[in-house]
Amino acid sequence: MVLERDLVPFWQWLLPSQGSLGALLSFVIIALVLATLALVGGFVVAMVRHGPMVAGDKVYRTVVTGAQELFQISPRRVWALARLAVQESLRRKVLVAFVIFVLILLFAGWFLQTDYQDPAYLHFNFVLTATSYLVLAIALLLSTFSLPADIKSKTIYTVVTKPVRAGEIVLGRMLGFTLIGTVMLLVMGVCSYVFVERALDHSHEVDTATLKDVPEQVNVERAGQSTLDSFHRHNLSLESATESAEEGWYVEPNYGHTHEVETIQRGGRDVLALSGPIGHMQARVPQYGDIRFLDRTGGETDTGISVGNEWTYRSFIEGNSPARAIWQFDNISDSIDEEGLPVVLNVRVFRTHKGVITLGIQGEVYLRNPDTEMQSEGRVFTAKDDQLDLHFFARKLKNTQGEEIDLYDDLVSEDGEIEVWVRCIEPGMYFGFAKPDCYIELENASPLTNFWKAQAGIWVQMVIVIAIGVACSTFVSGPVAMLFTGAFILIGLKKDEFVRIAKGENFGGGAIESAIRMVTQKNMITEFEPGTGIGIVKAIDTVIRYVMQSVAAVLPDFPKFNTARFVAEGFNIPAGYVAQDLVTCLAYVLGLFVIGYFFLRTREVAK
Amino acid sequence: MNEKKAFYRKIGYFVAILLLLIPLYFLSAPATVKSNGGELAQYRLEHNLSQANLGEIDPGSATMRLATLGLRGVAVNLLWGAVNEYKKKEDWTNMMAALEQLSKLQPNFVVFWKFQAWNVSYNVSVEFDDYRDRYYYVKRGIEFLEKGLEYNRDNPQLLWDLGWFIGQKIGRADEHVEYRRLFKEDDDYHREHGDRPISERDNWLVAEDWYLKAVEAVDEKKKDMGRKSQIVFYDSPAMSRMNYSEAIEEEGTFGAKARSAWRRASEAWKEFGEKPIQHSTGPWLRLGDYSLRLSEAEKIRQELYALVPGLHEELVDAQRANLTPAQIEAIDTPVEDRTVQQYSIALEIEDKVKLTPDKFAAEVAKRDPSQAREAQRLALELAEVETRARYIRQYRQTANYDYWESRSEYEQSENALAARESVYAAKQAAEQAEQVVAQQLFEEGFQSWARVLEEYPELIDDGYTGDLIIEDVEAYRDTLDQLGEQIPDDFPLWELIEENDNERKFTDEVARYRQRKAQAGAQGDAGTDSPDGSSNSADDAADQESESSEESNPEQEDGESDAAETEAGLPPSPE
Repeated sequence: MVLERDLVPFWQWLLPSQGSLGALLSFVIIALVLATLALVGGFVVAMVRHGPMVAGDKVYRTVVTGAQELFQISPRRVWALARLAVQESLRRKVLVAFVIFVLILLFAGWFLQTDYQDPAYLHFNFVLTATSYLVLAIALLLSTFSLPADIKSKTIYTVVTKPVRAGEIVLGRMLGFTLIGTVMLLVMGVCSYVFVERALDHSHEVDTATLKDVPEQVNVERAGQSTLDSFHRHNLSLESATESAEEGWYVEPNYGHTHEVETIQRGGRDVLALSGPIGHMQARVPQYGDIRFLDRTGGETDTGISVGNEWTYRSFIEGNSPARAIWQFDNISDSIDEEGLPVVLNVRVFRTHKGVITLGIQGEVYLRNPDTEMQSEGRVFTAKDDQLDLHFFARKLKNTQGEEIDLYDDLVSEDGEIEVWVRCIEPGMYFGFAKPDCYIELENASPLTNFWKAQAGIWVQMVIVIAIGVACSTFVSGPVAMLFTGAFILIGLKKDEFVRIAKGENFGGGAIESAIRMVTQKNMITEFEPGTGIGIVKAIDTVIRYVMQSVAAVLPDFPKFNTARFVAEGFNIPAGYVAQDLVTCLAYVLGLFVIGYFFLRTREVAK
Repeated sequence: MNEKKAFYRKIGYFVAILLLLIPLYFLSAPATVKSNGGELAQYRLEHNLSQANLGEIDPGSATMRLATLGLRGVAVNLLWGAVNEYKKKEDWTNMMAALEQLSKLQPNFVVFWKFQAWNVSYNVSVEFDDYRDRYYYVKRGIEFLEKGLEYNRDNPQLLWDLGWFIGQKIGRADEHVEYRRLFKEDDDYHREHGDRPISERDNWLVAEDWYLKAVEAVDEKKKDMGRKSQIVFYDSPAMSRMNYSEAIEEEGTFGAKARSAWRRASEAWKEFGEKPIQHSTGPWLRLGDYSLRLSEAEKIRQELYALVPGLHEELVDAQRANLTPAQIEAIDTPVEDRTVQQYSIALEIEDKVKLTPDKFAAEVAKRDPSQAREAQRLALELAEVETRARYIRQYRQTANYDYWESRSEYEQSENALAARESVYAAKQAAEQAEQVVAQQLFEEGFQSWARVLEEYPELIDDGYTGDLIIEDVEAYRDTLDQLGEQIPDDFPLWELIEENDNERKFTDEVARYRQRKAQAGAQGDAGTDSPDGSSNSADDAADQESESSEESNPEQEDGESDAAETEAGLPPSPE
């Protein structure tokens, strides 16, 4: 699975560690900065209107009352307001979203075909993305229009005349919309799951015309193919009984799944047919390690060499040279698997000459104790380009001297560390790797739970949008709040790009400069003639960039919450990752709630 | 008052809308059974632009275009960007899905189908290491073009590209051996495409079918072939036949099947020669008409010269009288024998001494004004026929017409078939390390080649055949190396090697061979009288030098083909 960002463990993410402040400290710093700005801003405004003494008093009182009110929030009243928000949403025909979702699923079949090599990938990606966009759109519409509409129609007075606090109104809305959104997300999740299951469900029969005896293959009696269904076939072989296994059919995986061969009755005759697909949905649990390389001279290096790909995700090691890719794993013990160590390797092959076209490129993989430097005997393999390939190292192994060793006793260091070394054997050929291309395979998790974890990612996005929407709607009108929140979503979805522009790493300059380029049809690379005009433009752009960087600091990172790719590629979403999302969500809700509270208090209606 | 104002304003808008609807009605009324509809409908009909005329109507596509709410252009841009991004990040499944969506948004943009099909077949396929995966994506590209064809019925560009992909990508890639085998074995593909018998499942034959459909779309259905060269467009079916014949021989099929393949290729080439092709300047030509045009020109020329008997010779003599002896010697020397100096002298004075039909007609008019009109008519006619002959010659060179014409003919001969079969068997034997058998088979093969060259001597220096045979001679030399032997003096293709060793792979062998030959000659002279008065080594070397300088001067070759015209009385036209 391609992971362009590292999966950081939860505590490492939360607390300060090497080179990183940690999420908690970052949150506190941002909160303090925002609070200071708000206090100073509030004071300045009040000072202009009432003079410095009164301003100081007002600010002090606002803060103190605010702090008191925040601690006096009544869950009962919040719940009552939340119910009100739910009722309001239902009245505003929020359920129409279901109809749209069902329509999308109905028509999805037109565009989503199953003739791709990995149909499950596409289907999961699609349903999760569709759900996420739809839920975000609903969250946006519900949260931004509710309060301004109440204020405009003055129905808010029926609420504020009751003994409720501004904080409760804000929190009640957030909770109510979250509740309705959650229910919708649950139902959409179930629909999506059923849709994918049904879309991918198919079976084949054994194409008896293709079945042939294969005396040249060991342990295989007959081999052939299945019928063509859902745009693909499977190769089948009837494997003869051995000491360890009974006679049985082997169905070669294709299009990301396999089947079992079963005998069914048809027209009073026994027919060999294939079961429904197995393995479309998986939740592999990888344990990743740290990667480093040896270059062609055997020197240690952080990355391998580039073969000229524009995408620099993977780097390469040269064949028939001392170059190696090395992964170091920790927490290794026989609790992973008493029988041995399942190492999964994904190799990207790069050839500098044709070689033998019909043959794959050979490599070697071996295990090494980082402390004692003892190595297992190398295992030669033929690279399956860009496919997960399981190398199971049995517990009883031989070292390079041919002596028998125990994997866990001899190759794992006292700190529980082990290294996997990989080399390419053939000259002129290269193997490319990134950190996630080698992992220890742990026991699979439940695919269904994994699916719901991905939904949790969408839920987090939804809650953040609701929080932003409600907070915005406390101080601006509905349409403006919608535009503001919509902009937040759009920029959040493209946060990487936004940050790149904010840091000035893009081509074509900042906002004003690129606008000038567009109007004058000047390309992104050509430099402007130096002059006062362009100097001013660049100066303004620098200021805008600082503002953008500040915005980027508080901008929700929506792509990070989107974990559809894990489900689509059949990998478990780590619990720590979900926890990070939930904590991030909590931080946003907390911050936005406080902002919403103070803004609502400034409004006439809620005083 | 205000309310009234607003009401009147609305009425105003409504009336304006109604007024605008009137021209709209005449412009865009749809065609019905009884009427041709409005201007736009007629325009669509006239230019075959309506969706139904272009190809299949796809509700999915229409829905998606509507669903973009007029932002189709933006969506298309984003999707093209996404395709590039997915390609960069090797996310092939999403890339194909994005292509699928794009195809719904711009189904009638032919360049999209061509570009992206190429992207899949040529760029994505090579990203995989397993040739079966590569074949899968080559096929996806081909299927993508077929899908494009559903939306753009009878589009010659897509039809031709299908022929190209199936022919060239499968038949010429590094993996062509495996691709051709996989293509033959691809039951599912062939079942969906007319269920061809196994023997007909050759990629080159399938390609020929698509090319023929493309030609039919242009010729019969009057579709536009775009900016493709007419020669490349029309010679493709025949070239597919040639490639098929070459490919089956490369895979070891000879005898009647190979002969029949070459015969059909030859017939297809002749058909191509008969095909009217429009020259870029306008006139229609047939590449097979070259000799006809030349003899026609000769006939007119004789008629022109006969108007005033003896005038031609007189004018030629008068022109020669103004030339220096060196100049006369230069133009009198046949093009192939000119030295470099003579070549440049001839080139310089060519225009001066050129007796064009115009000049000749003007002279006729002076000498015998009664013949002036007739002379002018004949001169014009001659100029036109000559121009046409020149165009044909240029196009024949582009298509390599002569080479393929003679190749498809000689490949049918017993000797050529025997030569190919023996050399193939020799290579097989060499692979099996049976070098003695290989040597014998190679020699049989080269004997047969020698007979072919005897029958078709023009092949020796046609610039292509020699290269092909030299590759086999290299294999023969490897076999001999392993046996500790050298290419013998009685090897029948020494002349061919001497003529065609452009890459200088046999420089040492040729030098030694010449030395041995010279020594043998010298011994012969010293001992007995040379029976055939064979030339000495110095002469040989000189011959070789002049021949190789000829080889390296392509313009001279061009001049050679102009010899026919020179002989017919006029110097070659400067081109």
